[in-house]
Amino acid sequence: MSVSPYINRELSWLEFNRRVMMEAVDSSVPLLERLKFLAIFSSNLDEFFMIRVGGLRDQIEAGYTKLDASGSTPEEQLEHISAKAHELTSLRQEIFAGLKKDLEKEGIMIAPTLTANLDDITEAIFNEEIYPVISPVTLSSNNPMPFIHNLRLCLYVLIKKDGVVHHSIIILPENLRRIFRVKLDKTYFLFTEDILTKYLNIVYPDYEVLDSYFLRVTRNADLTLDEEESDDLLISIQNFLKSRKKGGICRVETDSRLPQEILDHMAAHLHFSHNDVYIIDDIIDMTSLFSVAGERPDLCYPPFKPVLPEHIDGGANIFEQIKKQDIIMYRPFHDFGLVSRMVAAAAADPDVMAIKMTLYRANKNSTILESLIKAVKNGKHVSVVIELKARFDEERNVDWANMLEEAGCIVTYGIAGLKIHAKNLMIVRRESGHVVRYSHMSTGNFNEFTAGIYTDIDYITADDDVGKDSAAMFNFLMGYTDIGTWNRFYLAPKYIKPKVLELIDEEIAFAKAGKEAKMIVKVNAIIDRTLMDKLIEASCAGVKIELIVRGICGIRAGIKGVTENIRVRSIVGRFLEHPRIIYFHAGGKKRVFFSTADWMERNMDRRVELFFEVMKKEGRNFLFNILDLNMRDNQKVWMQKGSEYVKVKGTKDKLNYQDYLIENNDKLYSLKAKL
Amino acid sequence: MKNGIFAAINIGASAFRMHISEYLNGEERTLEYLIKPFRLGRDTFTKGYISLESVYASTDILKKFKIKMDEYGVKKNYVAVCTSGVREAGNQAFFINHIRQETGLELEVIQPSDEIYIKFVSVKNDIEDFDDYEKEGVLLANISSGNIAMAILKDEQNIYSGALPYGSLRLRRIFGDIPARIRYKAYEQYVEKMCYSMKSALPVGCKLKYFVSAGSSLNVLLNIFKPKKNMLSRKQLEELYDRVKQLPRDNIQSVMNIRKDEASVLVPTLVTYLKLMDFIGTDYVRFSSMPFPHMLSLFYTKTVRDRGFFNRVRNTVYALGERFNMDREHADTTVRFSMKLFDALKPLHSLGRAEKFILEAAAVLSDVGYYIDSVKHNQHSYYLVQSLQIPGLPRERVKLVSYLVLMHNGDVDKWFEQKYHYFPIEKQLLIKKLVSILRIADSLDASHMNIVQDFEVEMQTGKVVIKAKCRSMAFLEKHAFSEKSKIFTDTFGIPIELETRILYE
Amino acid sequence: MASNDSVRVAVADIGSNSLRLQISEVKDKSYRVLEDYKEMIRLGDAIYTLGYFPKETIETLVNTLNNVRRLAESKGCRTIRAIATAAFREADNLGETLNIIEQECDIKIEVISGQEEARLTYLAASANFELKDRHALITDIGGGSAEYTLVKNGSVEKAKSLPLGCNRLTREFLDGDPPTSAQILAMKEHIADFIDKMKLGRGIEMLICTGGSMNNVGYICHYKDKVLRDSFVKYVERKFLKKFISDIRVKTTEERIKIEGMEEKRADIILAAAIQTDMILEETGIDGFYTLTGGLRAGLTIDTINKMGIELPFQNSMDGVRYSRLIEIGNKFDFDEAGAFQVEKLAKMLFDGLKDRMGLIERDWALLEAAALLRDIGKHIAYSKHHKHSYYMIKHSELVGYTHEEIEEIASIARYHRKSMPKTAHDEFISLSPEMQLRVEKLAALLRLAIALDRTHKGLIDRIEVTVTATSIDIKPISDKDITLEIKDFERNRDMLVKLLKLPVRLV
Repeated sequence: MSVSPYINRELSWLEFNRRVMMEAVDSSVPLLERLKFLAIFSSNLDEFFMIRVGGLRDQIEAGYTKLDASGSTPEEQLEHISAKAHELTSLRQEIFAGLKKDLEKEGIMIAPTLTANLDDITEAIFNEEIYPVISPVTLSSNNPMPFIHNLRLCLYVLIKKDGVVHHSIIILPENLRRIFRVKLDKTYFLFTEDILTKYLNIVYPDYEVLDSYFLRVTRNADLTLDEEESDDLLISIQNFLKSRKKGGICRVETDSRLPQEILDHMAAHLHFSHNDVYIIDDIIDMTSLFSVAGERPDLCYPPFKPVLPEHIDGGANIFEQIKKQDIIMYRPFHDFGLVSRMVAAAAADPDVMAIKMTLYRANKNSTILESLIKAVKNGKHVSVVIELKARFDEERNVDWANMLEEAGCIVTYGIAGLKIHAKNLMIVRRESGHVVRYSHMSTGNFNEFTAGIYTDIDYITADDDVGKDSAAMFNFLMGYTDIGTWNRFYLAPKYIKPKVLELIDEEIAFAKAGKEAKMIVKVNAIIDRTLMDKLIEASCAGVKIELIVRGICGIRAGIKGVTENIRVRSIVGRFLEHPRIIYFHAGGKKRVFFSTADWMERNMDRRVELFFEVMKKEGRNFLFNILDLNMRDNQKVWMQKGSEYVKVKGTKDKLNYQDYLIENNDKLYSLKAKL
Repeated sequence: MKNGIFAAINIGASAFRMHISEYLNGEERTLEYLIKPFRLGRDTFTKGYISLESVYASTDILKKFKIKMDEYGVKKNYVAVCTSGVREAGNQAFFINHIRQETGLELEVIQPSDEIYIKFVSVKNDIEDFDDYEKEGVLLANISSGNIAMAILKDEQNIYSGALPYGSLRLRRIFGDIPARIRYKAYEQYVEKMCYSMKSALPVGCKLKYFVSAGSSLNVLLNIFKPKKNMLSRKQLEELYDRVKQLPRDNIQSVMNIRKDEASVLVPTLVTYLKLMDFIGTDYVRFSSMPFPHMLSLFYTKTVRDRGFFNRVRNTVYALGERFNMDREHADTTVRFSMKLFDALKPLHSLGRAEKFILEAAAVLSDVGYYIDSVKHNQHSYYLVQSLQIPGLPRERVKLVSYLVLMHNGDVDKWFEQKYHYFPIEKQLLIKKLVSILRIADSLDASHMNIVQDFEVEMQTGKVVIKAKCRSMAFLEKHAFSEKSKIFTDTFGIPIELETRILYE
Repeated sequence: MASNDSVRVAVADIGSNSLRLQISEVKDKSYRVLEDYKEMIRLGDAIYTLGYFPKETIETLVNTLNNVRRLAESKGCRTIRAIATAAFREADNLGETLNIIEQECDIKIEVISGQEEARLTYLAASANFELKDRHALITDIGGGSAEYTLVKNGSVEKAKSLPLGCNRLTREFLDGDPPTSAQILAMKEHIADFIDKMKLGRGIEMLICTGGSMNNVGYICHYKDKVLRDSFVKYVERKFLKKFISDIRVKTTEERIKIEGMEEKRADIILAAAIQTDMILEETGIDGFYTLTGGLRAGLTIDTINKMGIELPFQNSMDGVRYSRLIEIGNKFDFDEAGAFQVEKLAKMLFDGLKDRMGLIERDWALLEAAALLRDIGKHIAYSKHHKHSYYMIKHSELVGYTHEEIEEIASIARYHRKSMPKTAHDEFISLSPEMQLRVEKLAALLRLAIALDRTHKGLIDRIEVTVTATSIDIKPISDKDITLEIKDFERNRDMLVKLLKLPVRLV
């Protein structure tokens, strides 16, 4: 049987998460950062179960049996996922055990055995913090099983009175702290569940406590799936979605000591299968490790300060500089503060007429938003297009929306059914009777916090064609117009995919004509079926394709006669790789684009995304350099081999490109990469 | 236009559009162009009025446009024009008033002739060799969703101008309940009928050469063909037509990858283009891809001008005269005399070039009423002039011409007493001044025999004397002069006399 | 400027009161009047007092005729055909006068007999009235004589010139200002003698008066309606005439002049004409009379055209005058003949099928027919609003064989052949009497359907069968072609009929 050129999306994602976890064993990474990678892995996996596994379960219940690209039914996919997730979960425990030991050597004790020297403290914590807020529920025939909230840690307790064994459950309240840091001879991180276990006899004063077990369930997140899935799936499970029971269980984590009959009893009441059970004999829920990660700066990445590119004068009039030359920057190596300062300058500038921006994820205390409010007070016309549905940021964005609206901004919420993912900012300025539009486009959010940990492109220009497009885009997003005419922008959902397909077709034509044909695609995910098929077609035609995909990649590279011209690599490092940069040889014209869109159906078909060609020489060279450094990195790169990824570490000419750029960010302007 | 930002809004039958331009030292630069598809015409063309729901929806759109204008600090520097969707709605006034109250925008309803004229001026400035087209015969068609407004130009004349209710959306509405498979036949027949009407309105044997389209219908074709040059060929259109004529809208939409509203009017649009090409006998349709609001902006800011306007209107006026069998010699004489009088009497009337042209037009057209009947021919002339649509010539001017032809003979005082007493006094005076001159000029060729060859005007103390050189005894002229000159004396407060002198014979 | 294939004809009619010039263009078997020019010369004043033309009068004649000749020449007419009537006939120095005029003006005046005068008047009347199957009396009360022409079944039965001209009567009888009752009585007796001899009897259905004085009566009668008062043909009810007579007989000339519409120079003589006419009405038992302006002139023009070898369509015995005139007008404004005939045909079938149900009478067909033929002539002015132009043009085109009201109705039917239905906001419509309004609505409803059934202008429908039942009207178009568009349009246009009949109108 021939090998499928497609890899299941979920399995590919689990592979990505494995790469994240494997940073925890990379000795070049500082110890606490390694711990953090475990936390990231865990947090990612929780989300995966809630959304992806939950989604697959919905499909099965709705009777959807269509095979995925790699030829698996939803049931088969669940099986594969379960196997891989079990494997990764075990591996995580091993890695954690190793890190725990290493940290103990550094005097950092994570979830230590509660020895007598801690008694005073644990007792105090129990009495002050824990005991007042817990409420045990004793099970009976009337109350066989309480509702257990998603990701809430529980204690399952067996107690005995008058010779009768009772089962009781304590669900840890949400507002109860999980970790207590105690600095004595060493630094102890004490976990609530350990302390509670120790004092159960106080919780059940008239009973004999026989034993207790940890328990955590992961439920299907009640997200509507339209954002994530393909259209045909949506249509077939649409009706089901309306009637589905909210939050079915996708995963149960517990310890190995839990007696089988209790598990069976719970399975019957909570509707899960044994495949969904994950045995964890250490900390359940390692996302809590984030609170340990900052403990000792010397065990973290050395701090660095983003800087302005050398040729930009932070003190001079920013608008004059942009008019002279487009500004391109690479976060976090370059200082995103420039953008914040540009908005601040605009707010105070009497010649500025209007400021417009999209808001997907903003940070707390955002100086940019403060500037916008100032701008309104200064009589500027300020418009903000807010995407309320940015996952997990809904509430924060609603707050922002209210605040901006109260201040007098024109706030709109985008277009029904289309999540706004493009990140644009426009400043309209009147300069001696002439309207000049400054456009800022980015692959990253206007979030001064994530700007320090994600890599992203920022591009600022006063080009009028771009300005027109920016204006048109805002008009479109704000409902002022339904039809845009575009000079430079390609916007999803309508124009990106056709444009990309057209560009690949051109490469195919070059390849077929025997000319050099090559493309480099740096994105976070490739799973769009049309685009994958086009890449396979291009590979067959002889186009050399380099895919630099951080996360999911649905293509299996290197299959002879099918994907043999495709190479897939993935970079996982200190900063989260985030920009999308696409390069086409284009018969020597060497066209390069940056974009907010991953190559996924949701980005291409159900979001407003930007795809933008950089035409100016400096900007092109800048992006060539980024791609080239990505390709040359030999420390943080994973190469796809079959369905897995292997890290191939170079021993000479070592290049960790992220580290390199911390010191050498100006090289992005000066190097002359040959792609 | 002086420097600044100008907004032009067009409320059409199928979309609301706004164009924002910056004008700096005579240069126009497009800042933004907004389109909100909205089928105002759906109500108007089927029910005859705009439903309340649509009034509210329109208000919402215009509120947004207003915000956009505020963004640029556009205050009074805008024009907002409504075309057929509002023009033909019974509750037009309510619509306009509601919009004014809710948005502060003052809407203006323009006539098809104004619409086509604005397009004409724009196309003239946009298509390089349009001047040649004007000479050799061109049909300029504004094929929009509601109407087809047409102007036919040839020999630098406007030989036809009119609006026919054959817009693509209207067609679609009319035949909505015929099955899609055969609906195209209905369109074909219907549009043929239109061509038939056009043909009957044109002078016999009038040949045209060029076809220029300028309506909103063009957008869908441009979306499909994306032509590099501003031209589409019959072959392209025929091929497309054969492909889509029997398809239901949804199929057209998916096959052609166009919007739903575009898909629904594609077939009627194609029929219209092809039939008009047949009508003219050309294989190409030319166009300006400039959107209408952009044209509005350039036009209202006087950035584009109608080169040769006076000449063409003059030609057209003469052509109209010919159409109604005017006595060319008499008309020429009357024009010559009235122009001479106008110039000579300038110190008395102090009128300008525009008024002089009104006088000229009236001199040409005063006798066209004979075409209907000789009895009360001046009233028929009045009626005919009133029915004229000369693109670019404001309605008010046409009316002025009609008043002049009405009063070129008969009892002027009576007309003023009975009909025009409500006119503002300035307007009455303007009419009286011009009528006075016209009547004198007319009387000087009362016999239609060119007896008065030429004359001098002498402004003497207390009177104006016209010294005419005659070929023979000017009995009729003298008689007519004495009858017709009373208004002159009444108007200018100075008597006018005619002295005749026979030169030879 | 005359076009190549047209000829211009100038005729002058020198009457006792005025000299009138009419210039017409003859083209394609039809003619239209380009110019009507009138000069009051009052030759009768001299003739009926002196019996000859004094020198001053001849001078006036020469001057006037020279002006007239120049005017005619300027309009492209080679010659003028001039006729003179009673005043000349009775002038003692007739020969001398004619010689002087011929020398000075190069115009040879034909002095015509009363018989000829009657014939010409008849020619004009037959161009304006449908006289084919009718008995009619045409009178031309001039200054000196009055011409009586009796028409039976479309031809002149007898024509008499009676010495009953109103100048003459006034001078002979009505000496007072105002005249005394005795004077009037004497005049009436004098007139009665002549009328008795005519043996008019009761068979006469129609009285047509030409001649200036009676035209002036018509003008005064319709003075309030500016369109009507200027039309060639006017109808005056006897009721008005009686009131008019009793009104002016006690007034002095000075007082009469103040009457709106009264021609100053006729104020004295008009009474004689009015009384004479009233006596004819009395004698014949008719309720009113028509006036025809320019009758003699029009007849003269027609006669002149006939002499050029051209017979006008209404003179063609195959078609009625009325109908030919419709086609003439249609042609004048370049109507689509085939299309007009098809709609006329369909309208006729609808009319025949529905007239009883709709309470229409046969005469109403003549209205619908005219509207069907002429509904689109307004396109000659402009396509847009052409129904309104058609209205205007029909109203001002001299239809023949229709009363003024009927023309008004035809114009209205044409006006409502498309676009809006009649509304109270339409001034012209509400000025019609309620019966007229209803008739217009009915006929317009039929016209709309007939037009709808030829939507494609291809004459696809051969025949229509109309079935009227108690519960519905079924209309069945017979065609072997694709009449989708017709059916569609029919459905859109049937509302007006449905509303009128309060019955479903179905296409079967």
